[in-house]
Amino acid sequence: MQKEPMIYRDLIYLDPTYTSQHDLFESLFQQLYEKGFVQASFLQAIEEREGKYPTALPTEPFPIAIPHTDPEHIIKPFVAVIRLRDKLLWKQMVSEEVIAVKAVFLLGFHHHSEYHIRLLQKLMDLFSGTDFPDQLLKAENVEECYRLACAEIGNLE
Amino acid sequence: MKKLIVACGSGVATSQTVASKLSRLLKERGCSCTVEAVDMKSLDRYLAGPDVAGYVYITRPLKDYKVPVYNGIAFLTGMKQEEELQKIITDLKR
Repeated sequence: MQKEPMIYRDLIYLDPTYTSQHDLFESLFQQLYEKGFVQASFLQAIEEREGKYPTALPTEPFPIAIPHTDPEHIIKPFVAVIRLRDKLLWKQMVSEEVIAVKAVFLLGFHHHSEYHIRLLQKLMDLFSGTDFPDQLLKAENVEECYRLACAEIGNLE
Repeated sequence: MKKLIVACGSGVATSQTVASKLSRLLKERGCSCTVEAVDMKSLDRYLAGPDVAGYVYITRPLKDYKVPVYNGIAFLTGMKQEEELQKIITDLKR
C-alpha cells in the first residue's frame, strides 16, 4: 500500500484566532499555496464545497470540522491540524445545523486512495473514545502536537 | 447482489470511508450486500440502477429518492452506528 507523509510541522496551527470560516480558509490558503501544497484554485473550491456540503461533526469531547475538496486542487497531499483558540461556528454535515468547532482537520487528498480512506477512518476512530482529543488540547507546542499527530494519524501500517 | 449507495460531494474521502466501514460491518454480520461510493452528480443514475437496496446519505437529502435512506454520519463518527446498522440489516433481510 502506498504510504505518504501527510502530517507536516509547518501545517500544525496551535491556537490561532479567526473571525470566521472564510477568514480561516483565506489565511490557510495563503500558506498552503506559498508552500506548494495547493493550486491557486483551492480557495474558491474549498469554500464552494463547504458551502454546498458542510463538514462539521458533533464528535466528543468537542466538535471538529473536516473540510476537503476535489483532488484536482491539491498538489501535495496533507492533513493540516488546526487547534482553535476560540471555537468557530461551522455547519454540520447532513443536518446543516451550526455547531461550534474546537479543531479543524483540513484534508488535502490528491487522488483516490485506500490510504487516504484509512487515514480518515483513523481520524474518526480517534474521536470515538480515545484520549487523542484531550492530548491535542494539552499539547504545549507545535513539536508536541506534530509528534502526537504523526503517531496517531500519520503513521499507519 | 443487493447494493447500497453512499454519496458525497466528490465520491472520495467521506463517502469512501463510510462505504468501506459499512461494507466491513455488513460482512461481519453475514450480510451479503455491496456498498458503493459515488459522487453527488451521479447519485440519481446509480439509484436508478438494478438491485439498489438503499441510499446512505452524508449530505442533506434534497428529495424523495424512492429507496430506503440511511444516515451515513453514524458510520463516519461511530455515534449511533449500531442503531443505523440494525436498521439496514433488518431492511436487507426483508
